[in-house]
Amino acid sequence: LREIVEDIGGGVPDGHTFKAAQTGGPSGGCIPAEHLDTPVDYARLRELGSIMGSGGLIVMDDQVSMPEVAKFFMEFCMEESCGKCVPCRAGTVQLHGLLSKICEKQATSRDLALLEELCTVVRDTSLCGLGQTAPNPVVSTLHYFREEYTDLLVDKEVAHA
Amino acid sequence: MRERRPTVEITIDDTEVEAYEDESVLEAARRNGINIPALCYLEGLSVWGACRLCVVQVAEQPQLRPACAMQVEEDMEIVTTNSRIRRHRKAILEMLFAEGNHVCAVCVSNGACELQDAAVAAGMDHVRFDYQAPVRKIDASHPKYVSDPNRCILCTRCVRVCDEIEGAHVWDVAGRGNGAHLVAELGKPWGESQSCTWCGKCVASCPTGALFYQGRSVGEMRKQPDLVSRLVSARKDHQWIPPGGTGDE
Repeated sequence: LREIVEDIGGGVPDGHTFKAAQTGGPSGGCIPAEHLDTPVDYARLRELGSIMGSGGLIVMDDQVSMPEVAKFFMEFCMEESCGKCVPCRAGTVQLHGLLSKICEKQATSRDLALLEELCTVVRDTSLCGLGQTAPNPVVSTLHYFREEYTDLLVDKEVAHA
Repeated sequence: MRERRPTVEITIDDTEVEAYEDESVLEAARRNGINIPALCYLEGLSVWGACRLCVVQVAEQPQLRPACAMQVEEDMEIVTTNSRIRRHRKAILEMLFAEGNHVCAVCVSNGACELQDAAVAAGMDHVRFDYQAPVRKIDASHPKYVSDPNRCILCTRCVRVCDEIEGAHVWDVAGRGNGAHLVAELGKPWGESQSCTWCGKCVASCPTGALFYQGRSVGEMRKQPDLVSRLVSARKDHQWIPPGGTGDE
């Protein structure tokens, strides 16, 4: 991955540092800087909670807020949902709403817990791959950058405790 | 008379049951008195697999699968309920309640609503999600029936019964994602539809108060979800089962 980002892609511009790379498009997951030396193959990406997916790669620098990234990808999935099954049609809307609430610093630790539960519901019960993988960006950014979420909560002391 | 159908042995919640080879897990379970909740499934119609309430677990497989869309297999082991499945079903119901405007207190189907019953059975006593409070226009243009899309859960029973049983195909789903909605005759007011035969099968099949008779007030609407299976058995087996009878042998 380092080779793709630094050698082929020319590295992160304007003196900023590499923060994470989203692989596999909007339903993939992010890979943080500590795993930059991971070979880009199916098994390794899966181990890190991401996928090869479409083969797309989005590199993010230190100016990027991960909850915003998750919200951006959720908006995409919400718009792409066909509307047939309930967890994807209504679940992506609720996930997007919860992420917006977090980004606007209006959410509590209960909202964060609800976000995490809803991720498993949408993943486990959706009819097709779109809904099943829609929570991936949320789950993986929460896994690697949880403090960025908890820092935005109204009751961050509770979440940190 | 129905021919003898080949059977297989399956286990549902530690109980061994005999299932017809061409049956779904949901059908086999219900025929054996094991209830799996479902809103889009209706006996006699094609399978839609969209409400996801009927998700079950197969033996030790980690993923959940819809019982309505899964055919039985010899020695299959099914778990219809555990804490994970219960949690997920509850969340799905909460999402449905948050998505439309399901206000039981002012609904024609209050007390006789499959969505309400499913929520009660699942122990869903409040909704943790933000209500989306959509603004959807009621269509009361039909002389006999009303469509209130605020109570529609897009189960498509009406779409399927009108197409498959009545053969009129008045209903369709238009739009997608959160904007998906029911349309009569490609978007006309229901009352102007040329293809509607006024048969009322869509109303009888609707699990909520989304489709109802003109003039009905709060709690006055009674649906007939078993009408479809009785019509199907009359056509296929030339046997008329009166209302309230069972479709079994």
